[in-house]
Parts: sequence; structure tokens; C-alpha cells
Amino acid sequence: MFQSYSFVGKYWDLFLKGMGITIELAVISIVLGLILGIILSLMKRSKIKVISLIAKMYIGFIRDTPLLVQIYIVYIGLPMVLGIDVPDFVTGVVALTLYSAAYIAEIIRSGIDSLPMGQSEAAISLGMSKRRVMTDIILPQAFKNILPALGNQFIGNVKDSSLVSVLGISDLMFSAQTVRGSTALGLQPMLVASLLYLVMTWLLNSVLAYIERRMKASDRVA
Amino acid sequence: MIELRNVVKKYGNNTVLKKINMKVHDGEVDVIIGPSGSGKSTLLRQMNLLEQPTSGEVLVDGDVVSGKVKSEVTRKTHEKIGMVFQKFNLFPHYTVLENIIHAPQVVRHESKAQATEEALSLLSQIGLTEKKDSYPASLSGGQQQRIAIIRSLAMHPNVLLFDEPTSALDPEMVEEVLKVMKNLAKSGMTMVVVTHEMGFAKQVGDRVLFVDDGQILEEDTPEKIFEHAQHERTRDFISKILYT
Ligand SMILES: Nc1ncnc2c1ncn2[C@@H]1O[C@H](COP(=O)(O)OP(=O)(O)OP(=O)(O)O)[C@@H](O)[C@H]1O
Ligand SMILES: [Mg+2]
Repeated sequence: MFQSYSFVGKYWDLFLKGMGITIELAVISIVLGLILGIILSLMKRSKIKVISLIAKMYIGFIRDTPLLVQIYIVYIGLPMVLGIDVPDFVTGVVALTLYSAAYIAEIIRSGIDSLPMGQSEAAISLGMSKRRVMTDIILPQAFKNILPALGNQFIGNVKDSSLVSVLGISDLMFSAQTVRGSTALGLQPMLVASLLYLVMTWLLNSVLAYIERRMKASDRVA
Repeated sequence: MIELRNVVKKYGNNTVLKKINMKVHDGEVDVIIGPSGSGKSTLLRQMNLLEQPTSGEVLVDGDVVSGKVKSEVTRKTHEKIGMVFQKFNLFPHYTVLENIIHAPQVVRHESKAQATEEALSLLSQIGLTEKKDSYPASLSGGQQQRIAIIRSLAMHPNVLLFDEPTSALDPEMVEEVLKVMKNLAKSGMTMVVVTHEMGFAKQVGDRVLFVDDGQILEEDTPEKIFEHAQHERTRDFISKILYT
């Protein structure tokens, strides 16, 4: 029974390398996705109708089409738009960024909407400009409220990044496929991969729980 | 100083303010009373342009500030007219001191030292100096509201508007907030106060305006309104707040 797992020792390096690529994909796409997500959520609130419509349509498109389709659109479309060869890793990052930004924009919107109106009204009544109200009063509070949801999105990015293995990016999922190919084993490499995904999400969850506890504590202390 | 001319406010088909004409004079304390839903808050929110009237205009120091004006005019008006809310609305992510000095720094471009010095002097006037590094969540409602008042004062407004500043407070904290407001009134501050605190109105109010169904039904000195109101509606309302 356990003998069938002896491949783990031999292919350990490959799994670890795959994990590394998966983490890189998730980290880069969550950071870029956060920046694009803030921009999208501000666009959506814009008084200029065209701008808010563009943001709405973009968010709708991303949320209502499968990620795999989006990955292929970026894979085929990006080189056409840029007119150059795009490395597969960049394609993966771009696809995941475009994808998570739409969800992050919605998370930010809900964070802003969940703040009492009185917060912006008080700031406006003090004579603060609209931009100041946003950067100093609304966004910091919204960000604090949505930290758990952002954390979940990050974990989502770790898992969703497995889909970009279709592009031949050697992430964890790709490693598992490679091992399957070379060992002729069916299930076991996938079980090892899922275990490694679990380890990553579990670690992330712990870190997030720690940060949340710290932030709650700092609310109280004078 | 603030003047409303034929101000009408509609939300959809619901006309909440019906042709309001009103002047707030310098150094005067106006008290607004009226039944729930009669439009008192909406009236205050037209005065400081938190909302734009559907028609009519708002003038501050003789200049029209409502309607199609530059956004800087609107912002300047906000700066001149402070507002204190029922629910305090302190910024929970800032300490008490930061709550007070933030706007003076970013709006009035005061130095941190300058803003802090004034904030500390205001804090000592209301006896809350030792709370300067606390966060709002750790303070009582009465303390939060007193700090909200001096946060507005730190911007040196020409007028302060109050929307039921004591009605979210536990009864034992009402007095400490009213005391700060009374001192402010005595110092000559121009104030418009929505409140049903009769004692406050009688002690420092120059005028009481009774708002009913989106109109100022009657206005007079506190004595006249509370004892010899012209309208049945006004008398009914006053007897209700006196005996409940
Ligand atoms: N933003 C809004 N959208 C739609 N209707 C509103 C809005 N704000 C107020 N109203 C309506 O306008 C009317 C007057 O409301 P307002 O808050 O001015 O009354 P009020 O006299 O302050 O009452 P209260 O004593 O309960 O505070 C109410 O019928 C209310 O439902
Ligand atoms: Mg009200």
C-alpha cells in the first residue's frame, strides 16, 4: 500500500518547485489584483456614467464566465494586443490578476457600503475634500473590515492558480501531472498535490487569523 | 449668515420640505422642534449642503452656495458650517487626539504642533485630556459626543448645527453634553439645534421653530412657543414632549 508512495522521495524536488511557482502566481496576482480592484471599485463609484459602466461590465464579464475560458482569452489575446511573445508565466499572472481584481472590486465595494453613512458625512462636514474622505476615512476602515474576505480571495488565488497549468506553467498541479506521466500512477500524485495545497491554505488561514486577532487587539488598547 | 429661500426637498414623489424660508442670524441659537419624520434632519442637511435642495437656494453670508456651484464652494461651505450628529460619528480608526487634529491639519493646513496645542486646550475645557490617546470605542456616549463637538470646533466654524445630539445617550449623560452646548451658546456661537430638550431651549435658545409636515409652522421666543403657541398643532406637540 504505502510502497506506491515511494515516488514521493524521488519527485520531491519537482513537487516543491511546483509549490514555489504556485505561491509566486498567487502572491503576484493578489497584489496586482488588489491594485486593479481598488481602481475598479473607484471607477464603479464614479459619477461619470461611462466609467462606471465600463467597470460594471468588466466585473460582470469576469464573474459570469469561467476562469478557464478567461485564461485562454488572455493566452491568445495578450500576444495579439501587445504584438510580442508573452511568457506563459506572465500570461498566468495576467489572467489571475484580471480574474481576482473583479472579485476584489466587489469585496471593496461591500466594505465601503458596510460603513455607516455617518462616517463620510462627518468627514465632509469637517470640510475634507472627497478624495481625502476616501483615502483617510473610508478606505482604511473598509480595508480593515474586508481583510478576512481578502484573505479568502488570496486562498482562492492559490487554488485557482492550478488552472493555469493548462498553459504549461510548471506549478504544483503541473508537477503532479508530470509525476503521473512518468510513474504511470493514477491517483497518488494528485493526493500528494492536494495535501500540499492543503498545507498552503492551512498556513495562510493561520497567518490571517493571527493578523485579525492583532488588529482586534489594537482597536482596544489606548 | 445662513439663509434658505423657498427651499423644497423631494425624495422621489415624497415632498419632505415645502418652501422653507428661514434665516439664521449671527450669534443666535435656533432650536428646531417637531414630530418624527417632519423634516428636521432634512432641513439641517440643506443648510450645510450635505444634500442639495430640489429647488430654491441656500445662501451663506449673502452668496448662493447651493445648486450648480464649483465643488470648492461646496467644500468651503462645509468648512464654515460644522455639524454634530446624533450618533457622534467619531472616526474609530483614529485616537481622540487624531480625530480632533486631522481636519485642521489636512484642511486648514495647520502644523501638527499647532493643531495638537489647540486640541489639548479644547480637551481640557471639557475635562477629557486624559482620554487623548484612547480610541472612541472605549469611551462612553457622552464622552464621544463632547469630543465630536470639539472636533467640529477645532475647524473654527461660523455656525454649528446639531441633529438631536443627546437623543442617542443614556439619560445620565445628557446633562454633560448639554452643558458643553450651553457654554458654547453663551460664548456667542451661532447654533442651530434640533432637540426636544426644553431646558436647553429655554436657557439659551433665542428662537424656537416648530417644524410640521415639511413646513415651519411657527417660530417665536422659547417662552412664547412653550406657553402661548398660536397653533393647536404646536400646543399638542409641546404637551406631548413635556409629559412623556
Ligand atoms: N435619503 C432619503 N431618502 C428618502 N426619504 C428620506 C431620506 N431622508 C429622509 N427621508 C424621508 O423624509 C422624511 C423626513 O425625514 P427627516 O429625517 O428629515 O425627519 P426628522 O424630522 O428628522 O425625523 P426624526 O425626528 O425621526 O429624526 C421622512 O419621511 C423620511 O422617511
Ligand atoms: Mg431627524
